[in-house]
Amino acid sequence: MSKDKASVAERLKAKILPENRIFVRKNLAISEQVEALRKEKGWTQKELAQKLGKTESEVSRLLSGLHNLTLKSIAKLEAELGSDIIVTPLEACKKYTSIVYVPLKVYVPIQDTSKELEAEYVKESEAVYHKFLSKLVV
Amino acid sequence: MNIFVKIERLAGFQYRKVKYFSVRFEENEVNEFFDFLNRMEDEEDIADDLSNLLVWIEEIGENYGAIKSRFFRNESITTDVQALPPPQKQMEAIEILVENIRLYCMVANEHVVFLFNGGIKTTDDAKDCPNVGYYIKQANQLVRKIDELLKTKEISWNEYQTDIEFDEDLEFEL
Repeated sequence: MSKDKASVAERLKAKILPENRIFVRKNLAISEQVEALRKEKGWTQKELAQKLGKTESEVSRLLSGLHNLTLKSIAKLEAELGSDIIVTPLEACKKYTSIVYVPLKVYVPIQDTSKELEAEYVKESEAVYHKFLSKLVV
Repeated sequence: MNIFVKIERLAGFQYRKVKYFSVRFEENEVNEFFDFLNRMEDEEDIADDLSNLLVWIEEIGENYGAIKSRFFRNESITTDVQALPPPQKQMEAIEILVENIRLYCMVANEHVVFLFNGGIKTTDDAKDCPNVGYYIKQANQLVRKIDELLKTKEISWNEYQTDIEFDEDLEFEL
């Protein structure tokens, strides 16, 4: 019996395996990360290609989301961009998990001198808080 | 001999960020994209690549948008090597590559993409390939016609240019 030509998309979609989805999603996520780092550096696509020793067309193919990227290619990209592109969950835990104490503004109206003390405390707390925020951004 | 061509909205390929379309030649049972899928369906060696291609079409459609400079091959595939580069606003056929599979398309903007036909490339230069050379030429002809229809507003954009509208009887000669 011949196949129904009009329902080919449904048949092929039913054959998609979880690893196909993982492959494409991770591939596109890497492409997205490279694009963000490229923009952060202020490089054009041509400049990135030159730094990688490739043509623009080759880089375009590499980052299309469909190319089977090798770890070697990713390492080269990380080296040129000077930043991680992929981080494993364990690495991420080591890198980003730490206890951070965030100072809070506490108002304790006890004595006449309290206003002066409170102002001093708030000023100090805010400075620490901003320092903390700037670290978070980094 | 000229043949009549109709534009088809690809029902299973309408996503949040991209709406996909194809074209159907009057004598054919299915549109060009489905013809491509039917011809590739029984090629066991490329089953995995074909699945990746379908996921990619969905991911670009749902989460990224059809950003020409990033996801589509940044290389002209015009067939006439003597031709001057097209003017800035003229559309060109573009190829989607998965290993040796080539699918030709037209990225009208980030939200509207026409998927045409293609095949498995067997030569270094796709234009010389007996499998895909014909489809490159065909894609370029289709792009020129669809571009004209967009300019004459027989195919019109919606308010935010996220979709197109056209008469269901609209057909053109190729």
